[in-house]
Amino acid sequence: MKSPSDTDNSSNPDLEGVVLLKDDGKKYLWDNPLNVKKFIKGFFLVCLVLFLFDFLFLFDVIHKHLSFKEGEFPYEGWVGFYCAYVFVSCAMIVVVAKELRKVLMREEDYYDK
Amino acid sequence: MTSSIHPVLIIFIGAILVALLKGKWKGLVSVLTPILGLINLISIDRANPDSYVMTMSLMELDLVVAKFDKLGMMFAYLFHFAAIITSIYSLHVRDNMQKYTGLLYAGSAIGAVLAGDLITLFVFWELLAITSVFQIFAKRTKGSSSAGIRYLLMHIFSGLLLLTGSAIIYNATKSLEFRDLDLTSVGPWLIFMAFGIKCGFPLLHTWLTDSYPQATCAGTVYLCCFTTKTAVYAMCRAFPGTEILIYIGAAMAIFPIFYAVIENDLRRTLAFSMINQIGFMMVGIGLGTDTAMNGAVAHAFNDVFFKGLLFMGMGAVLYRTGTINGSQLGGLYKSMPWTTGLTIIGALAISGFPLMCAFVSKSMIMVEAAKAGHTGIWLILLFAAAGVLHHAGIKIPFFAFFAHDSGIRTREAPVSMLIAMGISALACIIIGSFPNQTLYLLLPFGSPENFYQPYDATHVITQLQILFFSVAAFVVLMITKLYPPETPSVNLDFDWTWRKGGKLFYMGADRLLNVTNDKAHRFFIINFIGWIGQFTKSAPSRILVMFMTPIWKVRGLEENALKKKQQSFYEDARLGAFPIGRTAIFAVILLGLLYVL
Repeated sequence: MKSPSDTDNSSNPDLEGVVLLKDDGKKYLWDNPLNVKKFIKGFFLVCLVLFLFDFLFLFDVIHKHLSFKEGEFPYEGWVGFYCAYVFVSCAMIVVVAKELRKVLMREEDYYDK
Repeated sequence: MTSSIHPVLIIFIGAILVALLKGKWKGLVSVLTPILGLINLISIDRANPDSYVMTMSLMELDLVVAKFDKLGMMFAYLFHFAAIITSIYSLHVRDNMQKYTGLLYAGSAIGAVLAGDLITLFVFWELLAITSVFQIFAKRTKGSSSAGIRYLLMHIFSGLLLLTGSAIIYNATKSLEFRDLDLTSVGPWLIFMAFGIKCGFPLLHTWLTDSYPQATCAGTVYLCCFTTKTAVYAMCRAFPGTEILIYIGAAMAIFPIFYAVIENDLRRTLAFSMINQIGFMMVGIGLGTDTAMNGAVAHAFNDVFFKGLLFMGMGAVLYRTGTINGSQLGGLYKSMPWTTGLTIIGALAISGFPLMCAFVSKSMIMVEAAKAGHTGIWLILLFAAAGVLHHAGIKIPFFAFFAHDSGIRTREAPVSMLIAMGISALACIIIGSFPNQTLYLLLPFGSPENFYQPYDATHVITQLQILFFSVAAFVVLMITKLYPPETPSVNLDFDWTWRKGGKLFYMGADRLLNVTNDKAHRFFIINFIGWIGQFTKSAPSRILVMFMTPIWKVRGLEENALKKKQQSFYEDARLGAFPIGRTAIFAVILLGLLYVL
């Protein structure tokens, strides 16, 4: 339960408040996979709606203020720019981080050896 | 009523009282002290013009021990709020040392941001280092004491750089005033690096991710509120518009993200996220325009609330379950619903959800980067903003409170912790929803009519797109099981250079210096000194014998008799036992020589 750094001294004041109870077997909201599915569906629906907002910008129903000066970075105004950029960014972060793990990961007590 | 009490004085006296008092009074005074300090600060603010200073003479130096301009004031207010929140949060702490050093720490930070000259700044800078380390030591484990020592080494070094830089500047300009500096000579560079260490510049950041997870659950909340924010303040004061900060900031914003994703210790994940947030602030300071600078200080201001809230949430989890490793947690929403809800507010706030505080401050910096035409920097910041959401906004609450059910059932966090988290959460929402009535009253740069207004349709919608599509990436990666699972591990960082490299350096130094020392000892102490002793003892006698030998030869002494004569003369000369006649002859010869020469 405890990590090695916690167990090397019993006077650790952070362990004073530890309370570990038994599972009372009660079912909670996310224990039901159906609720999780509903939530994910709802979530993707919101994503879709947000994506569609870009078309309101495109047809100038809502005027889009660009952050950059005119012509400096026109991609910013493209349909789906923000959506695609952050989606790809996040996926990339995870993929790169996973690769990094192969290089960087060591056992928990690496520095104590 | 006009107050002329130095704000630090109140906090320090309170700290002494806390150290002396017992039982419930201890907790009460620790909360009342910063409240009293805040009242004092407000009365100073109300009664005095912007340029009000408190001075003191020390060894022929006129020190400005407190300067109440807008920039310093903003941080002084912030640190009082932070001190109140952290004091409430740590009401459960029974450790006397941690309680009063916590207040001393807050007081030092307040002193540093009000310091009007470099000497005062140095004094509080060092106090900040020394008082803060007790939050790490207080855990009383082997890991925490060695992390504390490493932390202290870094910070004392930062203090020394500051002192050296100040001395060089004083030598050149005969002024100790703490104001904006140009990176054109050695002095300002040293000070820049001193601030850089505390800001967590890349490669110098290791103290942060090393020590924060080692502090106690309340200790980390203290650490996250004061040290780095003081450094951001100092950077704002001394190096506004320094271009190199834009690039340093961008690096700081981007590299911790990768580490944060694979980190198992959730408090270390937050420490990485801290560096990332300071990166945004550094970019703001580097840009140097009024709005960008306001963005930097506003983000530092907000960071205390949202990052503090996240650290408090994780502290509560650690306090109740005894672990903070993502691999061991999960499903805690069942037993800690309040902590879950409040941490989620912190997560929304750090991600920049509309109506939350980072929505206001982060955007100021990003918009200014775009306005200045820094396309690359802007793209990096956007990338970093998505990354923050990924690791601090989703990972923290998801792995602690949801994910798979770890089977841990525990009790809700203590009420004092919940109250402190509640105050922070409320601050996040109020600042984010009504920036004009709250945060903007304190912004130090430019005039209020030019302040950035975050609420327009474009900004709200694009921000929501950023948020939801970042989460969408997370959801997709979770469903497809591409997301790296939390595993018990340590990830190598530049830390390695200091820790393993430090050991290697020590071993190398041990080999080299001790062997040199040994050889030197043998040569100089044992051989050389002996030889010198021998030389001084016998040389005059030998010279005398050499001088006398030709005379004896002329007198026609034989080989054997000559040897005997030499031997006895040598012994006499060595012991200084000459008959009076011979001594007289030598004296005459010596006088004659002196006369001739």
